[in-house]
Amino acid sequence: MTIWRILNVLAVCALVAAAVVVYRIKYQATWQAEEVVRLQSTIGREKANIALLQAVLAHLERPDRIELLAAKYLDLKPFDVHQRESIGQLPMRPPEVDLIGKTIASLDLDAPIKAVPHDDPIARTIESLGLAGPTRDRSIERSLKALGMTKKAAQP
Amino acid sequence: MSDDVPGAPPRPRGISRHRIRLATIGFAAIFLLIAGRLVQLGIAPDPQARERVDAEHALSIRRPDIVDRKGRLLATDIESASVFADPKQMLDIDTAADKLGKVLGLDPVKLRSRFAKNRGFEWLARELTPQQRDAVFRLGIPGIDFMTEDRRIYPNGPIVSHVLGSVDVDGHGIAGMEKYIDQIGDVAKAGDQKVLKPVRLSLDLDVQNVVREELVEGVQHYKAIAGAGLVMDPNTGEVIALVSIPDFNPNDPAAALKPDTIDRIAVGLFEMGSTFKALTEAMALDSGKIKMSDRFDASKPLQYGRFRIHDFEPMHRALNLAEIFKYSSNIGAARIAMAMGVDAHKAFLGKMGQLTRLKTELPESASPIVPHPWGELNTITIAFGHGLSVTPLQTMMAVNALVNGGKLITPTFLVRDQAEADAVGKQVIKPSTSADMRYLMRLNAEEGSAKMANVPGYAIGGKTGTANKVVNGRYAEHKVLTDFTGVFPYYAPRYVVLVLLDEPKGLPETHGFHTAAWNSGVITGKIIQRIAPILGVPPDMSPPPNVPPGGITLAERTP
Repeated sequence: MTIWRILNVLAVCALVAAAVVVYRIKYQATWQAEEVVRLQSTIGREKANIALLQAVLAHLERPDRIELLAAKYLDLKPFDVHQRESIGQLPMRPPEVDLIGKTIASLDLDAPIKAVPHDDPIARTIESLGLAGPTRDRSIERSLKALGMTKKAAQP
Repeated sequence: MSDDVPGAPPRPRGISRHRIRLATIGFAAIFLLIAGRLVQLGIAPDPQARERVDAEHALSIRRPDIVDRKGRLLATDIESASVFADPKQMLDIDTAADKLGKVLGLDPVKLRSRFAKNRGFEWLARELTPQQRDAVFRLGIPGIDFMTEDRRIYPNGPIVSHVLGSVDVDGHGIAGMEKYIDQIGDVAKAGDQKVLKPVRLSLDLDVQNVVREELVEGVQHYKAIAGAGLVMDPNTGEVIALVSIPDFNPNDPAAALKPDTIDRIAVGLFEMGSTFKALTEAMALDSGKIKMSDRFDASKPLQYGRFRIHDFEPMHRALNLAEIFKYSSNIGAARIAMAMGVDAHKAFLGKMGQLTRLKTELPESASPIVPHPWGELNTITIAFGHGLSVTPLQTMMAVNALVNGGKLITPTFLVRDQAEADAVGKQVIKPSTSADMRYLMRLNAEEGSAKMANVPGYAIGGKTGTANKVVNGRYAEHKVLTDFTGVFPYYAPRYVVLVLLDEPKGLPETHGFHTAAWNSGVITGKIIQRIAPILGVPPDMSPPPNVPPGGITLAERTP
């Protein structure tokens, strides 16, 4: 008899537990269903928003508006056919050249310096200027005059 | 009730048992009746609910987006709110009518009488702006509710108008490609989960914009009453741009109904003028009976009965086919057609689709006005483009066949690739005739009437057309329709451009001329210059020289 009673009590407990579990599952299912509906309506709203934004974007980038803005704010000119070349018509790339090396080589710096006997470049320059030399005439004055550097001009 | 239970009341006698059974049956019948009535109520539509469901259905037609060939949006649905009332739930009809009238801009007296009808459902306003919706919401009147419905908008405004058409307030397409979408059933009801794929048109929005801009400017500049432009791919029959000025804004469906805004390309009927000489010469060359070098007498006006056919630019000598084309000789074209005969002429134009209604996706179309009976005089005038009214779209279909190697391809407003085009195309003239026609059109651009349309870098070919308009049954001397057909590059045509002006006037800069070369031709040149880079046609600074097929020089070169 006691066994039966214990069994009965256990059965009642199990029943209560089952009821609680079932209730929770049912509640969760309802909650999830509501969540699904909520998300679906959010998706719908977002989709509608996307459509609206895309329409606004298309309206903003319609070609006549872009053209107007480009004319107003950009420094662009209409395309000219001469501005276009095909790749095939481009000249070939020139061979690589070491310009500096070539210049140095052309200066022939490695060559030994040849001294010219009985030649004094400084004396030659002075002589050519007429500052010194066998004919001591008024060549200095003449050249200064030609340059507009005579004493008269210097002291107005 | 069992018989063997001790202490139970005595078994009812037979009569009582029958009564109990009767009562049971009676109750069962009543319950069945109630259940039946419930089912009936559940099934039978409630008239008010019906009304509301209907309205909701009518509203909630979803339409697919329409995009151009590069996927840019041309038409789309956005959500907008509509407001309706249930007067039965209103506490104070008069106040509600006053308040709503103020916010929505409706007449309160009319509103009151509508509410007084005591119907369960009354539309107040459709497609509210968000501000209006908020204002109505803030009034807080019971019995007012909103319904979200889709509203069709066209973000590009009037740039694309005739091709798109428009929809009515319930979302049904009433013109253009919108109507076509309804016809093929590419729309969905609200609850329907059907995914609507965007409809991709063959139009290019940028090209469309350029053509429209140049035409709006051209119509204004030459003081024309109307103008139209068409860009097509002759190899696939795709329409790249279609413009007809004056046009309308598809966001305003009422504007589309003005008679002035008809689609002059697909619905307008015109005598195309000299453009038809191209068809006349193609007929002659394709028959094999007439060669390019054959000469026809154009030394004096052609007398037929009481009619005299003149040339605009008389040469006073016999001309070969190339010269007839170059100088646009009416007499020459008439003589070619006479040599071919009335039946051959009629058959050829029929084969080129000029005598029957052209059907494309656009629901709008027009039947050509074909003379009946068709005598020799008709053949003479039709040879140079008078006396047969066709839609420009129709003529362009034939011009495409003249330059694309001889295939007649029905124009389309949807994207179409070369394989599909080959499947629908019909070989109507020989490829060699097509090569001859390309030569003639280039010759005309090099030294003939199409010179004004030349664009550096794009070797175009072209044909002008000027037709006197019929006013009160007679050809008016100073009212003309001019058109220009340009094709580029001439040696392997990728695009053809048609420009049409209705009653352009002569200007000082055109030396007073109002013929096609001076107006439509100039506009075509401007359009080609701008659209060629957009369409990706590379400029060719040294196009192949235009040699006549067969290698002999036919036309005398003019210095």
